[in-house]
Order: sequence, then C-alpha cells, then structure tokens
Amino acid sequence: MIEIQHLGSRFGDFALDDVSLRIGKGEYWVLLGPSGCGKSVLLQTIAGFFPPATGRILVDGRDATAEAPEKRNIGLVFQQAALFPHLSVRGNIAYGLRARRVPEAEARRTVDELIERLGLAAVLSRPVATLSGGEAQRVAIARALAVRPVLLLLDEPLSALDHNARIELQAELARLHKELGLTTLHVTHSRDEAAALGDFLAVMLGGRVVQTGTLANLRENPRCPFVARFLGLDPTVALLRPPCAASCLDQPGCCPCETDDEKGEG
Amino acid sequence: MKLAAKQITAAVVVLAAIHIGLGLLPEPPFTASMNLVLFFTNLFVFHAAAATLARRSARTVVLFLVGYFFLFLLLLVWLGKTPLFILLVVAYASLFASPVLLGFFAIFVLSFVLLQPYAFESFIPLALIYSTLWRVRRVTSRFVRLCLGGGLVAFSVILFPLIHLATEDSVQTLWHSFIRPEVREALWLSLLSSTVATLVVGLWGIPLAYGLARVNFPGKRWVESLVDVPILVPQSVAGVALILLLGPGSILGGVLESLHLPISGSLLGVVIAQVFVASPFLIKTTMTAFEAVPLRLELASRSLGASPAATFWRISLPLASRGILVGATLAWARAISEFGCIVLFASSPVTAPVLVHTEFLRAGVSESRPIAVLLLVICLWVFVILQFGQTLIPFALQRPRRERRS
Repeated sequence: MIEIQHLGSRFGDFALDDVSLRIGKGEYWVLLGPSGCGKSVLLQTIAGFFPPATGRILVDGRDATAEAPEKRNIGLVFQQAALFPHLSVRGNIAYGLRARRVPEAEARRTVDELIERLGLAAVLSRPVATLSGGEAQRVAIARALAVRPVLLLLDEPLSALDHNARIELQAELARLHKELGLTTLHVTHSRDEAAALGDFLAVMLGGRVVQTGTLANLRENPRCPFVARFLGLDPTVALLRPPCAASCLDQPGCCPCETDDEKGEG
Repeated sequence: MKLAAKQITAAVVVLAAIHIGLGLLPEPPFTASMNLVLFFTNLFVFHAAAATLARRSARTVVLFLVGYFFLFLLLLVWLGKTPLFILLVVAYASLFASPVLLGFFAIFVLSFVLLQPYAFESFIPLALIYSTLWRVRRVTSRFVRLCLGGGLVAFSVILFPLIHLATEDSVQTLWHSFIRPEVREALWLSLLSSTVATLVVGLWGIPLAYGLARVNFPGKRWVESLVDVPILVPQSVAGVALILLLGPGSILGGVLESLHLPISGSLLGVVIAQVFVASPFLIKTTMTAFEAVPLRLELASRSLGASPAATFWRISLPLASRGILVGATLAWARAISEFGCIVLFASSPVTAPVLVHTEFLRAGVSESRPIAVLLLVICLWVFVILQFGQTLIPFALQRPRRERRS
C-alpha cells in the first residue's frame, strides 16, 4: 500500500500543494488532469527524483520520503518508452535484475515469463531503436515489471502512440492488472483511458488533488464544475455545489462565468 | 538514334578516309604505325559511342563530340602527346555512359594534364568535392549545394599545402629520415606522450564533463568558459606560465625534483604541457555527448534499481562513448601538434614538432621536411583509425541517418 501524505513541493512552474492519496494494494488508480497541473511532478516525486518540500510518502508503512529512487522499488514507465538504445530487448528487460544482481538463471526465467506474457517473442532479435511505439512501450512495461515493483507508475504511457496501438496497449494494461494484481498509478489527461482502466480516479488541477473516488462516484457527484467538465459532463450540474477550493475557482473552466472557455478540457 | 549497318559502314569508310588522307599529306603528322593505332582507337571510340549514344538525344551526341575534340585539341594539337591522347580518349569513350565517372574523368584530365605540377594536390580535393556534391545533388536545393561546393573549394585551399607536402618526398627519403635514431625517438616520444596526455585528460575530464552536463548551478556558464581558457591562451604564454610554476628554481618544481620526478628531461614535462593545452577539446566534446543522453534514460535506470554510479557506467558512459572518442581524438591531435608551450617548458626530450623546428634551424627545409611528412602521415593515420573506430561503436545516439535517396 502506498500512502502519500500532504505532499508539497515547488519545481519551476510546477507545484504540488498538499497532495494526499492512498493507494491500496492491487488497486489501479488513474490520475487525471490537464497538462501542467503537476501530475508528472507528483509521479516523479513518488519515484524519488524530486525531494518534496513537505509531506511524506509511505510504502507499506515504511517512510520512503528520503529514500533514493533505486531503493524504492517503484516501477516507472515514461511517455516515450525510454528504452536503453545500446541494449537488446532482452537486455532492457533484464536491466533491473542485473542491477540488483539477481542470479542469472532466475533472471532468465523472469525475463522469459515477461516476454511470453507481453507477447514480445517476435521482437527479441530487433534493435530497440527499430521498435514501433507500441512495441517499445510493451518492452518498457516488461522492464518495469521485471523487478516486481511495489507500485507501477505509468506517466502518460499511451499518449505518444497511434490510435490502434493505444487501444491495444490499453487492453493489455487492463489484462496485466487483472492477472498480476499490480498496484498502479496511471497518469493521463485522457478521460477515455481513465474510464477504461481506472478502478479509482484522482482529478488534479493546479497542483492539487481536487477529488478522488470511483468513476461512477465522480460522475454522480462531481465536486465542482471543473471536475464535471473534465469528466465530460455538463458543467452546470455542479454549479449549485460550492467550489471545492479557493484555488480551483481561479482555474479556467471552474468559474461559472467561464464555462464557455474550452481550455479546461483535456 | 539507332545506326543501321549501312551507316556504320559509311562511318568506318569516312574514318579510314580521314586517316589515309592524313597519312598522304606531304608532311604527315604521325608515323604510319601511329596513324594505324589512331585509326583503331577512333574505331573503338566510334564503336563505344554508337553503343552508349544509341537512343540518346542529339544534344548528348554533340556533347560527346565536343568532349572528343577538346581532348583532341588539348593533347594532340597543343601538347602533342599522342599516347596520352589514345589512352584518355579510350577511357573517355568507355566512361561516357556514366555521368559520375565522366565527372571524375574530367577532374583527372584537369588535374593531371592541365595542373600537372600539382596533380595530386588538385585531384584529391576536387574529386572529394565532386563526389560530395554528386551525392547530395537530389536532396538539397541549388543554394545549399552552392554553399557546400564553394565552401569546400575554399577549404581545399587549406588542405592544399598539406597534400603538397605529403607528395613532395619519395619513400626513400622518408625511410632515410625514419632510420635516424633521433627522428624515431622524437616520433615515438610524441606518440607516447600525447597518448598519455589524452588518457590523463580523460581521467578527470570525463567526470568533470558529466558533472557539468548533469547539474545546473548559478555560474555554470563561467565554469564552462574557464574550461576553454587553454584554447585562448597563446602557446608561448602557457609555456612561460608553466615554467614559472614548475620550472627550475620554482617551489613546486623543487618538490617534484625531490620526489625524483624531474620536469626537465623527462616525459612528465611534455605530458604536463600537452594536458594543459589539450584538455578543453576532450571536455567540451564529452560534455555535449553527455548532454545528448536523455535524462529519462538515467531516471529509468535509477527507478530500476541502479545506483547513480551504476547508471553512469551502464547507461551514460556507453551512450556517450562515441562523442568521448571524438573528443579524445581531438585532444590527442592537439597534444601531438603542441609546439610553442613544449619548446619553452619541456624542450628536452625532443618531440617531433620540436625536432622539425630544430632541424629547420640547423639544416633548412630539406632536412626538416621528411620529418614533417612522417609526423603528418602518422597523425593522419591515427586520425583516420580513430574516426573509423567511432563508427564501430554500434549503439549510438547517432545523428539521424542521412535520408536515403529514393
């Protein structure tokens, strides 16, 4: 279980403001928000690349806030697959196992299993630079899964793919989650992905988590016009509710008088 | 145009008539046997032309004839070199079908016949420029080709003296110079010391470059500029500075002396001078190479459990290795060519550039020239090997490959 408590940080133009999340074991969370809302900063903070100014990150009850990224055992998949171009497909998948000095035979078994599970047998002999976006992203997922992470972070993993590859990989992610019961935090700005994959949603705006819950929950009861708009609902349904936070009101699409402004959407 | 048997016969008859006519002149320009050879040459030219010019436009035929008569006027009428004419005209007729080869042929004639004393000096750059322009003829605009071609022509003027130097001495002179012990010692010392100097620079330059590439801090620009200072400093100034710090009578020099590491008369002095002048080349290039490694690859590596040091060894260093090799090559070349600083600071043992200078002072250009050529040849070979070695590094953040012509 991953607990994020009152995380706050500032990194250039991006800021996190009192972000709290509680991701239970085996849950698939989708973090939904427009570009520049701080989703990626949150992800990289959880991965350990930016130390937060305030707040704590607990991994299975252990305080990991100050731990180095390599000690956290948190898998990370980027928007661009970020495969190591000088290693083979197999070398990429085995990278984490090599770094942990897992015995060769065991590493081999793990890699073989992942190759089979993700259907990568056909691309094994190809240089990674020649893989298509979808294939590369599969390898990246296999690479992240090889070390059996306590949490899998997906940073807009489908955004750079063409339509067909996106549909395919989306189904693949859903299947993997069902089979392996991975604890996953998936960042996206696409509500289709959120609807298709997420057990739970967290909607983020301006460095804050505005609302969390299941999709049905959020649909029924959007907390403010912004959430409603972002979920593709008529923003006026939320107009009667009080605004969620002062900062939310400043955002385009949240203030009632700006409902015509399309900027708030995806 | 397709020639019928009748036309062929007519052409052969005309050719024969011309040659017989030439032979019957009161003062025949050729001996009878030479006339016969020329007749058969022309027969061959006609045969080759008939094959390649069939179905070609009249313009091409005219072009062919213009080329033929140009060779004729140049070689027979002006220079009077009949055998050369036969050779070249046969080559001309055979190559005419291929525009690329025809271009090389034209360059060959231009440099070996017209620019005879500087044949190699003009042929090599012209052929390189021509092949370059030929390769890019379809992928760029005429303006870009003009920039490229014009720049290359001007640049070949820089290469001209070097090629001229390299073609000046016979192999025997070079060998005689090479077997002189002091020449061999100087060359060996130059190779050894610049290699050591490059390794020394790499030892601290690569970590420094990595640090500069990966961290941003206020004043980083100043540090980067400071790295370049040895390029700005005149060589003799660097020499004086090093003498003041490490030379005879200085405190540090005395300390090194007492540690049995004398500066003068040992490899150490030469290496110090070379490290001083060569370091910016390696550091700057290496820094660019590290900057080209996407940060997310390092982040991915860290998230997979590799420590920062392991990430450096397994990801950043291999991916930057091509750039590092380029930087090392530049640094090596700079080190081996260093003269001004070494001649002041570490004039013994004698390195090859210093020897070229002292031989020039002692016996003039004829004595120093073979040594210069040897040094040039060795440097060029090492340069070529390293440039080639670069391409052997298979993985690469290489520049995107040139788009292939369709």
